[in-house]
Amino acid sequence: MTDQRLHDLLHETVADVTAPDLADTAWRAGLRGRRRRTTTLVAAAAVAVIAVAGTVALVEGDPGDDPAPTRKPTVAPTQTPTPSNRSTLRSTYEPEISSHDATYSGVPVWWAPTVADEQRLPAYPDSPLPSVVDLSQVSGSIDDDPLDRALAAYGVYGPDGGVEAVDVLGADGRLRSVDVSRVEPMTDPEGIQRVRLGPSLLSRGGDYLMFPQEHSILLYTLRTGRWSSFDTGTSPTWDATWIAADRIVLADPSRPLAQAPEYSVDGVTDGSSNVIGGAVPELPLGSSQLNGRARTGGTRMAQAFTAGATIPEPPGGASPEGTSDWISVTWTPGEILLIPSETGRQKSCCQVSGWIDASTVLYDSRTSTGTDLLAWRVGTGRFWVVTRLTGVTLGQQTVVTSYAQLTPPW
Amino acid sequence: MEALGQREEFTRWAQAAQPQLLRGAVLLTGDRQRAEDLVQEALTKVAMRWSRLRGTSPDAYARTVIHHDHVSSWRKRRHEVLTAIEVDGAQARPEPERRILVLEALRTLTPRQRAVIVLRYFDDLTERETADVLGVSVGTVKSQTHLSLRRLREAAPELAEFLHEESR
Repeated sequence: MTDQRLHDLLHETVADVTAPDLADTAWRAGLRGRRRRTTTLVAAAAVAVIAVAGTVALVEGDPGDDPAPTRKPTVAPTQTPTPSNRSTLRSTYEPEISSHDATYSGVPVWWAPTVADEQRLPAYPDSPLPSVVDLSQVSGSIDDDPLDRALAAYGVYGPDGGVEAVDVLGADGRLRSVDVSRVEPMTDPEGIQRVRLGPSLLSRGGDYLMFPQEHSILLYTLRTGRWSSFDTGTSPTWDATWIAADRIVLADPSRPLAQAPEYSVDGVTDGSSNVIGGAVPELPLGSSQLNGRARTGGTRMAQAFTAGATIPEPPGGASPEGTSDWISVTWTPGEILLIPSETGRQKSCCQVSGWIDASTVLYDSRTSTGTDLLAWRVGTGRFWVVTRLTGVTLGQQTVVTSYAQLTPPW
Repeated sequence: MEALGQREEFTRWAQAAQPQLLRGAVLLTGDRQRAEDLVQEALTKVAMRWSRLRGTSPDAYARTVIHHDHVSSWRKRRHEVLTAIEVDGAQARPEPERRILVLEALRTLTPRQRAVIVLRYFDDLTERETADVLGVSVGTVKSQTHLSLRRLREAAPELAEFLHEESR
């Protein structure tokens, strides 16, 4: 009955809010929007015809390529694709596709696989990471089973927002637990007190765990099992980020163009950098926000963004423009990976996790069925699954992932 | 004729839906003008897709747009100082005390927490439906509900009798 009482209380609170008739204005504005959409879709369909023709030629000229996933349906050369074809699920995958799906401010846009398609992606060959990481299967404490360098670190929040576990993954495929009872909660951007476990939990080299604290940084060195900390003064620490194997910058997403102070793992501050500015592409961002940590691979940098930029969506979808997360790969040539929003796809779903080689970026895919680490060969339609995370109670626990840089230099 | 029929159909739906959408948006934002803007934008997006949405659930789509746009706009303004809540000329006439308490208590919540409270207790959505609108897990909805009710109880002890948790 209490639910009903709160329901009644809320309704009573706004009972005298009366609505002007917005229907007519909305219909006329919608009509104008539809006309603009129609123009855009006609242009996109024309591009799609050209793109598919080019794709067929490429596929035929490359018969020996490994079978690899794409997001695109098989289309015979004589067929004209319809917009809805491009977003339907497929049971088969073609070899490499090198024609992008759309453009945004002149930058090629690729549409990531749907949630259902992700379940059918092939495994990435020769991955240093296990194909499955079962977070319920921890071999023991890192104190009893030492590890110099981890490939990945995983944090698990429970339903009450408390930390249930922090585990590190070794190259031997075993998970070790780390006792983080000394880590204090801090105030998150929404004003909630909780322990900060984020994408910069693990250092690039895989040899430190970093825990931002109010006015300090707490570090755990895997090789020695030693905890250390250094003071940071008044600079915000929530978004502290690794920028080298042993260097941390106190990034501040609210001031993306500002120079942020840098610290060595010994707590020596001797410089500053604008780590965020370099990851932001020169594109209309709309209300998109930085999502997670920028990761460099070879000469390129990848950064995930929340929804907000009006990047073209796959035709036939029901998502409003600007509701999909996306990943930007900056520097020439720039590329965009749009992860179309859909039922089952979590918001802020897809942080960049690193690079598995100089041209293949890794990203987390968070859906209602779990978290998978996926790989995208930048500038192609090739996708793989690298690691599927299991051993988590969906709806009860939340997993945070952080990966070491898998390719040198760190 | 088909377009005319669709327009009438949309108008009937919008006129029926907008009071509930607007009141939910007022609770969500604490600001009448912003609430109206959010509803206007949501109705426009529904109108753009009316031929596809008419046979499904335009209410759910409009609600999703409102909550998404609200969080997006909040992210852009998160470093601004929040202004006092104004609902229907609240400054111009005396308010019932309980109404003021509710609005002031809602101000203490984060945008996501307010969204959870509005969707679950004002719109009567289930935990799963709330999770779908917000694009989060059911576990997040549960934990945010728990935190929100606790924070509301702390902010307005006078309302404690309305704020005990029950599963649904």
